[in-house]
Amino acid sequence: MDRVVSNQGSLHPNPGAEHVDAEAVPSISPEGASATATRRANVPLDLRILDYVTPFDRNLVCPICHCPFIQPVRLDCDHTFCRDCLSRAFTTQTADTKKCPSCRASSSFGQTQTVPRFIIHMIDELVVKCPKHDVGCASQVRRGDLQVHVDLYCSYSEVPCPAVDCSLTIPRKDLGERCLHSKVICDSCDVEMLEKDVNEHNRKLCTKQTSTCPDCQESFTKSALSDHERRCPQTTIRCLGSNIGCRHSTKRVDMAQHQNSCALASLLPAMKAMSDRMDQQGAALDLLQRKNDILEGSVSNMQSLLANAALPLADASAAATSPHSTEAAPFDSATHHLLSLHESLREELDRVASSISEVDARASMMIINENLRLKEDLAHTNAVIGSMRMQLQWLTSARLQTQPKPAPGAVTSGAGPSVRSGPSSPPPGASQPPIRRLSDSERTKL
Amino acid sequence: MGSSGGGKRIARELGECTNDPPEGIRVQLVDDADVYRWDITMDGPEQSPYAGGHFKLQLRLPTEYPFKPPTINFATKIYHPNVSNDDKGSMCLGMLRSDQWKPPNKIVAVLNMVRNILIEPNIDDAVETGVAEQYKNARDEFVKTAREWTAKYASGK
Repeated sequence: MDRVVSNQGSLHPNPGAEHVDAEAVPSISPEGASATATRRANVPLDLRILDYVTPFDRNLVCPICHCPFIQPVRLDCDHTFCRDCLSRAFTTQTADTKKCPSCRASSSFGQTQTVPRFIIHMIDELVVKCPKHDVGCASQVRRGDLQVHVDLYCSYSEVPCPAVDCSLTIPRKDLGERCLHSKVICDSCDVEMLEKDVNEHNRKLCTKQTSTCPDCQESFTKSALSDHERRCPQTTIRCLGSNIGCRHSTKRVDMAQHQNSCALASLLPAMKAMSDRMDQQGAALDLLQRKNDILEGSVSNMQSLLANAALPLADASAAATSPHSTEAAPFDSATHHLLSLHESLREELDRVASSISEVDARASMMIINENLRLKEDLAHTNAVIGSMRMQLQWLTSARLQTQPKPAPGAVTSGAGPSVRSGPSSPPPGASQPPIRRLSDSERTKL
Repeated sequence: MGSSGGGKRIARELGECTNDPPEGIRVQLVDDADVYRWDITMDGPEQSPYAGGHFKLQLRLPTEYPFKPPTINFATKIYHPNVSNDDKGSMCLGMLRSDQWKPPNKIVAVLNMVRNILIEPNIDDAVETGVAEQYKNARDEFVKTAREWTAKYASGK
């Protein structure tokens, strides 16, 4: 990761520095300005690889790198990007006039404008994990303070070696007065390492170095020792029954003997089973209680609803509940009380259900009746429409008949029957008034 | 992690695509160590002649992503005016063109566009002009052939 950070250096000439220097330093300086802390690491940070702790608003995200803005700039078309993202987008464009990556409006790099200060504040407020969190730094800092944290305070960031002739770096926490980059060889395992890594090697990694067990005085390699500590026969341990009252403690070898005779230790399995069962029952009781609460709530809801809707029913339910509430008092245990309450609630629920179904049936009857009436109406309307259609047909044919006849044969044959059906058929050349009379007589016939 | 910013963005987009995939689209990496090559499985949209088919696509991201557009290839043969009928199955239209690509475009948008192209081919931008002619003038035949190809090449898993 360090290599990447330094690669990014050319793209980040001065990432967020003007802002960081302006207001972050005073806020963080009380952390301690020790002599080592003043040595700056001065590695430009790549803010894009950070892990964000706070969730951030989608509107604060650069559309190009999908990270919260880093040194945002704004184009004339009001689109905002990170400065680096925009300059990289511009370098991939060949044309002389650069175009906005979002809307292709023409602009050039010189025309960028600053974004409102509150946006900078919002992105600086975002809390991030220190980039060294993978090697042990647990700090979470505001992004605006990150450069200062890494440069001055993070004990895991690499700082230059104090020796003048050494160009290597060392984590700040290991920094001393002299160069720790000389090679040393572990006396025990012959592994070559840098002097700065010796501590960690001795603590964990060395495969040969031995240390003695404080209890049995035998020596083991470092890696085997922790394993041994869990099994050493001379270590003093407590009786298995200690958590149910046995105060005895002795060496591991003698413990088996004690536990054979210890009443508490032999009771342990039975006690454990009992406590397990008690836990289960407690959980079941909790569940029941919660269910009961829910039922009670819904029933009282319904009661209030019904009280508004139908007074007689509300009276009945009130009468039904009142004996129960007086009855509930004598119960000696909470479970009995709960059970009886549950029973009464169930009865009430049944009653409510039956009344609901009654109402339902009534409503559906009403709907059916209404439907029937509507259907009848509809049939009636249909009949009326049919009769009107017939009248219209008759009128049309009558009109056709009265037209001057280019093809008299066809018209007379087509209109013949309807003309004949009329009680007083008009003469072929009749004008409009007789036709009106005809239609009137047709309507009365229907 | 050559350009860490781009890599981070790709990883983020991959997370979005795998956790909340667009309808009828499944996404995975060809090789877990390489975020620049994606394997896409796209179900033929119901309202298209490709319904019932499972089409494999390969999506490649250039190292300059998001400044250069991704490329899409149909690994499964498909009878479509906008997909070349050769072993590459390449498709190049709309936002996939480098002159029309915009860095803010996301891969999800690309995948949705491909799916929309399956539903409604873009005739004015066709690579297979014969298929495009058929789509325009003899839609029934086009639908028939597309169905046949779907059954033949894309019905398997």
